[in-house]
Amino acid sequence: MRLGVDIGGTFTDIVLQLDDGTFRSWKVSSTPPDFARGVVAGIDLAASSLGRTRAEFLGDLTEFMHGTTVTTNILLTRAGERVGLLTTRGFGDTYALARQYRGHEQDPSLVSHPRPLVPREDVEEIDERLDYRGVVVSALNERGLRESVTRLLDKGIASFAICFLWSFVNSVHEERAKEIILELAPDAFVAASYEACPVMGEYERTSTSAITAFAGPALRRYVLQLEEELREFGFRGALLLMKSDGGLGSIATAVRAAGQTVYSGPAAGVVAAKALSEYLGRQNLITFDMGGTSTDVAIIHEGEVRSTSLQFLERQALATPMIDITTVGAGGGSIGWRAPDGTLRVGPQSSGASPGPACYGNGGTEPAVSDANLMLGLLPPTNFLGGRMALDVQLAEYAMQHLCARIGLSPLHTAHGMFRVANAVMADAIRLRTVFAGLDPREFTLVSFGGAGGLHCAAVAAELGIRTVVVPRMASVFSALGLVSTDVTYSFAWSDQRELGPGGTCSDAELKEMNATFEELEGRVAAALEPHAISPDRISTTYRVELSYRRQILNFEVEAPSRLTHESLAGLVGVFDSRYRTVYGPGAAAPEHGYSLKTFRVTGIGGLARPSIAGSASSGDAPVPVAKRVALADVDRPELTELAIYDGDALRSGQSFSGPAVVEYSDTTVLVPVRVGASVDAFGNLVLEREEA
Amino acid sequence: MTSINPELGVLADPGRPDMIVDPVLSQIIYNYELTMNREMGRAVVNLSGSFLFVSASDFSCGCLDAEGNILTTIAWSLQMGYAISNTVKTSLKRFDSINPGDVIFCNDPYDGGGLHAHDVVVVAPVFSDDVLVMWVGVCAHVSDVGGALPGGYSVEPMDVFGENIRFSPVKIYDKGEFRRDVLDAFLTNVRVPDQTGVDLKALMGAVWIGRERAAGLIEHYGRDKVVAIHAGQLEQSGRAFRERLVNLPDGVYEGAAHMEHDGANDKIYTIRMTLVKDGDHLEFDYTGTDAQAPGVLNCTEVGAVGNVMAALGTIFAPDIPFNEGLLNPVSIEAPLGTLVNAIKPAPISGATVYAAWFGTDAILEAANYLIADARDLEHRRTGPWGCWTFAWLQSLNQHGEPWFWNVFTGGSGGGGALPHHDGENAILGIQTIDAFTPNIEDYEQQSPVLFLQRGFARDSGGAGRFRGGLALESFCVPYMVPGWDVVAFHNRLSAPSSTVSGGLPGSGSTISFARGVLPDIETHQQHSTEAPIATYLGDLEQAPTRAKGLWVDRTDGYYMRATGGPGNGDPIDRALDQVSSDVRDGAVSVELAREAYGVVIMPNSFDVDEPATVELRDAIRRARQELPLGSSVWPGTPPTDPGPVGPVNEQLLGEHLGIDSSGWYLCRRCGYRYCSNSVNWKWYAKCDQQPVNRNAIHNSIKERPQGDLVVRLYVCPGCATQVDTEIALITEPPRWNYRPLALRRVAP
Repeated sequence: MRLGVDIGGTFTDIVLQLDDGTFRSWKVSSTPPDFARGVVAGIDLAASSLGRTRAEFLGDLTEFMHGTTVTTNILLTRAGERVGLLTTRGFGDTYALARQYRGHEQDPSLVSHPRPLVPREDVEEIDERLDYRGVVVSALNERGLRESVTRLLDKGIASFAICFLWSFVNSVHEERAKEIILELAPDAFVAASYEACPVMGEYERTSTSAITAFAGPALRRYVLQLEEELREFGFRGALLLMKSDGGLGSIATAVRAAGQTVYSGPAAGVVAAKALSEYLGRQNLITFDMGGTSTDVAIIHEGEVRSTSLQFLERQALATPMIDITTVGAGGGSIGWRAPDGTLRVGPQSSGASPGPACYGNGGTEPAVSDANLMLGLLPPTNFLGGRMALDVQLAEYAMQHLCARIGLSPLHTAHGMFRVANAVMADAIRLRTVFAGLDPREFTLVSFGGAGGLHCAAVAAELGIRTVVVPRMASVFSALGLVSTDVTYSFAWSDQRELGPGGTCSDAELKEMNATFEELEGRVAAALEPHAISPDRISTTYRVELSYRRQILNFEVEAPSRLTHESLAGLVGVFDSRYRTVYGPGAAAPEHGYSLKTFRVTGIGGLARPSIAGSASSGDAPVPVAKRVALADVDRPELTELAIYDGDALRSGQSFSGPAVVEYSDTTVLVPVRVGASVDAFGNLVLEREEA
Repeated sequence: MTSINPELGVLADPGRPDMIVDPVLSQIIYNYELTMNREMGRAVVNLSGSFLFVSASDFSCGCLDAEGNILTTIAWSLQMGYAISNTVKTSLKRFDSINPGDVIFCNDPYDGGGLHAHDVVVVAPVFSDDVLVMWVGVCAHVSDVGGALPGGYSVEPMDVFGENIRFSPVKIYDKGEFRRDVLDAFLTNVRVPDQTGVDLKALMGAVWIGRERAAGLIEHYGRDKVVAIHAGQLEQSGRAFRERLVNLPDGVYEGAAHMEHDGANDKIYTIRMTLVKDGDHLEFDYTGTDAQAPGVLNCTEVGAVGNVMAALGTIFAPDIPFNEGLLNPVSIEAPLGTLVNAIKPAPISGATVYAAWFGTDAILEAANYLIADARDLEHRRTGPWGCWTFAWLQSLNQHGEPWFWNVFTGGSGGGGALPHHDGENAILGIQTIDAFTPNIEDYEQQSPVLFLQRGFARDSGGAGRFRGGLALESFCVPYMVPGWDVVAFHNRLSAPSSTVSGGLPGSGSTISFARGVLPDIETHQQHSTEAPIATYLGDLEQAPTRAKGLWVDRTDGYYMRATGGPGNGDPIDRALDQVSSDVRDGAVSVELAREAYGVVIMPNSFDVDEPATVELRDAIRRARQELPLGSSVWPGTPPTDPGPVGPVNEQLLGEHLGIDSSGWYLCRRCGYRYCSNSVNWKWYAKCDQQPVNRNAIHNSIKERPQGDLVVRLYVCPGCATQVDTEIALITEPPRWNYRPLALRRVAP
């Protein structure tokens, strides 16, 4: 048995995959700040519903796979460790300068740099300097370093970030600094930038190392405590953490690179979508995870999850390989308001979990997207969350009143306006993300999971010209499902600036150096996989290089053979040329300038044994609506008409029907607008398909 | 409730069927177009790889309506975002026909271009069934545009014909056909045709993407609806700004900004701004601005308007969509032949960093008095933020390639202090909303330079109740090359910016050389294993304001500091704990705390010595009481006060300055009445007038040997609060920052 446990802000989701390949799932409340308590409660619930004791249950688990928002919460609430930062002499302000990123802010009273996690007084400048080739210009002053570290230790600081200039080319000074810190304080947590993110750009490296040192100790305390409790109760399997890159890693590696767990939760959902793409046979998916305050979007292209090496969370730069997840400030709780120019805006302000939308009756007074949806008949007033909660239409209308008067629209038009603006904001974000990646959204299927997405996914898809939407059967525990669908993954990269001639030419000596780089990275991957004791036939290793035209910076990663030859290089740049042409047209390409080879990456995937998922198609009868309700049928028209309500949990594989309809599940609601057909596939997923006019 | 237009099926403004004021669709299309601009921006960056685009974001992208009005933009600076409209509007007049598939290229600021010739504008019309619906455009600072000097900024007086190659609007794609001949004709004039060619291709790629996306928008919503929505968006922004204007007090508000050195003579050039606010109309009047300079200080009309747009988009209406509708309730007077509206052949290669930058500064000073009374605007009162001091360095680089390069750190000035908080450290200009700065590693990778230091310059922030942001300072040396040939351009070397409500200016900028203080790096590596090289920083030799042919040797250090942000409010009103935490953070020295803020800090604990501080601040106030009245500082007789003119309303003009209900200027802290609103209150305030120097502004600045520029500190005779500050020519009477509308025509 394999267990996936995903901790979110509100709920902890649990998915168990039994040895016959079938899934069971449970939901319990999260218990911040002591998240482990919720996990244990979930385990008990799972065990008792299987008629087992906690010890029997845990004893049978082969893997315990964990997605956690611990790191994210630490960053969002700034509740991390006090960190001492060591920089190269003369550059103690680099972190606060933050490249002057001001985020398009026009209002001078709001312009600010991203606020550093380390105050200036805890930054120590160290005498040392390397040049751009990694040559030592000024040796590391160890005496001065010891004094600096001692000063920080005397302040009670026990977590350190180190970022020296050019350390990603030559890590000698950072390595020595780390040794000295650990010599002076053996229990200290040390995040050196050459380990946390060995890439060019000292600001991004500093920020990433600081995040790691800020969140790492708390993450370590949390997972060690969790592991201890699990072992105590009889767990003998492997405890694995989901990383932002969508791979599972051991506790030790995850803690060492805590920055790599910031997107642990959302990454799991994307990985689940990737598994979905495999058994659905759909290669191109856009994931659409709409929650209360925001929506996460990611792309799976040709079966591969799109990744990035730079993200910003709350304006903090994070430069580690991770799934390219875009977060948009639009969710069910997003507030509608009137801008000074009279237009209707939605978000990014949110009513949050508390008080929540006005219709929840918890004191919210401003109109949220969920209030609008309720007024449009899309949410069930009495049967919300399977009847666990009642929604108050009057409160929603009351909250909407003031906004209606301000923008001069009727309540129905205002509610519909909020619905449309929210959809457009999410569609814009998806469009921007796909275009940045050089992709056309119309060639994708939208996968909607997360509590609030079901009402919006068809409309967002229509905005983008996407034909098909899939709402997975286990949408509400989708991230936890992703955990049990994941393999152990380690990926190591090396930044380089290597020039290739037109046609991808280079000297024999250069070829040899490149292959040496691959060999080195291969060794690191093997070393990381080794403790997992995965049999060699289940390990697959991939090799990639990042290419651009010389003098340009548009990079594409291209798959490479494990050892490069002149012929294979010519092939690689050919692949690059054709990818480039499809995005920017033939005129823009510049193969005559030659190419830059920027990054070498080796990824090792250790496949975990898991049973296959079998789907079964049953009869193709039409389901019977359980009720009718007046609601929005056409997402473009502010009119309410009577439409059919289906009980989602009662739908069976093979059943199909046409919109307009609303499908109510115990934990989410899906709108099937007019001119959209719905069917339940062999795996129980709800598939919405736009009908051709 | 809004009415419904039966044909378009959406909500329209009654009586204007061609214009849709639809709060929902308007917002959806605005977001779509802004997203489109971001996509175009990404294409500019991705397709070129230019250091200026990638690491400094020196470009703008925009959507425009069929007439060439800016609808949306993402922009390095708001001026640059606005400038795209100039190319479209000029092209519409210029060409007999604009056709589907046309792409127009222009870089002539005198004829349809951007702010200076370095900014190439590329625009493309978007058609639907042969009807011109809208435009998309990009404006970007490309790698080289030829001319006499690398970098393309003229140092000495020179006419525009010698400065750069300029193309008036020309079709680089004609009905979809690429005009290789046009591109080649341009590239033959530049030093680095390869890189410039890649830049230009990137601009065309970006416009191509924009056009595709715009076509998708038009297809989705229908041509008529998109056109009507665009008209409505402009109307909505204009209307929102008009509503805001109605609530501001009528009056005539003056400000000024000073530039120095025209390349031959080190004289002060003044840009003057008079804001006339009358009902729902606001006039921006540059009358009184100096005649165009023989050197690089000028800009053309597009800069004069851009400066206004920059002020609208930051101080007045950052929360209203930045489009050309903001200009509906606005008129602009920019006299021909002046710094802000130069006539050929005046040089304009430096427009972006001179008149098309400092014009906004002049507006800021005037606006501070206008918006002081508005609850929804007063929190944005600020003095000018950073400006550009820069240098072009030239040599071969470490890879043996020809290299010239601009160090950006001189632009990273401190932000101005605001009425409720300190200015941001090192943040560039108030209007550079999408700008950012490169990593040290980005510089060193491709340039023969080794940085020894880059950080916030202690004591550089202007003193005030709220302190101006600190300037960025950097110190670097030539690396792996014999040295650099340097062309230097200063701004605010000796002429500081204005401030707010009695604050002091921030530090001046500087490019200086530490001559021969370093052994070359190889010697250092051989002999000094642990010594920090930064300790070599020695005596600094100030570079000339504008000069070429300066040589920096490998044993010299190169130091650059941007300007500090101006302060806001009387420095001796600054809270004690803020001063002590400034000292603790290294932002302010113990000495400056005493000198500028009247705060005695104990050197070891950094705690405030409160009794000594109370005594010191009292002594400062007593000394202020001894100051003469303004009327005895300036030559001539003070005007006689005929009593208030109406209509009279109570009005705030600054933190402690206001007009009372009977029409008298008063100190709001102690109630002291200066004079009636018929004469400039500054004649009746105590005045400390000093030449601009370190002692006068408590900050590093080069003293002008001519002694032609003074700082005037105005103090309330009642309570000795420093209520206002003014930078002025010694020969000019005090600026009358606010006077009633009735006195509009009165010469101050």
